[in-house]
Amino acid sequence: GDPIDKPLPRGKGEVNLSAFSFLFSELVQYSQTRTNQVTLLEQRLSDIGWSVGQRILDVIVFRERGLKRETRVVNILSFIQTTVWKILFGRAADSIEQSLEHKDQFMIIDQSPVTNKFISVPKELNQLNCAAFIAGV
Amino acid sequence: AIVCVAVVGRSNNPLYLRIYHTDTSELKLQFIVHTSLDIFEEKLKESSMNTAYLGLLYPTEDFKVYGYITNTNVKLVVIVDDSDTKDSEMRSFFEKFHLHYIRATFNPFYKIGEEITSKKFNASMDQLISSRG
Repeated sequence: GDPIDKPLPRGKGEVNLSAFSFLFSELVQYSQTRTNQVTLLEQRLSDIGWSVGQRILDVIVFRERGLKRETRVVNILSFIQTTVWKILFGRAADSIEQSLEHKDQFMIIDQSPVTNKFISVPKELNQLNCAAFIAGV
Repeated sequence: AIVCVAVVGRSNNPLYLRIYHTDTSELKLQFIVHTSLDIFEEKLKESSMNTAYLGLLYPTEDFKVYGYITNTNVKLVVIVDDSDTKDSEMRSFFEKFHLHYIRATFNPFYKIGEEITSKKFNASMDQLISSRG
């Protein structure tokens, strides 16, 4: 077939942890320009994650589900917790919980997010959680 | 033969329209794509409709309109003037169409939800159309 018809390359499905950590640390430093506020920094990381997530969703669904679409909330949540997490981080998320106060709020639990693996937060920014990037995705 | 391919965004905003060997005016084909959006909504209201390929949306006097929706609610529309288009052909066409769309979104400079201006996307669609006819 011609090169245009080739399916999306699956690649090895693995990315070097050092490569990601380096890129992510640059991302955090870049987002830190001109702001010392934790909320703004987290929002910026989340925004970057958002644009990653938009693209990755189409690709993952296309690869994993072909021509089927998930239309139920439960299905898409479990899809995120297992398939998406596996593709992004190499393992499924630890669990999903439904919030008791707000029935339409769900929480995906990851005990050791890869974004925070090599980060130690300075005292001034001690509320910062770089996993805001994952939240954006 | 395929007369027109179109991409419509989540809020029913037009993202891409391309016309192939036909004398029909662009305006008329735009209108046909626009009308098909209502049919999308109708079909999607059925809660059992959980496939991406939506099949024949509706026939006009000269054309047939086929639809496909992605998991991100982006709609792909194809207008043909044949009377002998097979469903299986359209399915595989849409799959490739979807693939090209995904490739276009990989461009970090492309803002999702805006008009697609990628030359590569144009070229792949041209290729896809000419290989299918």
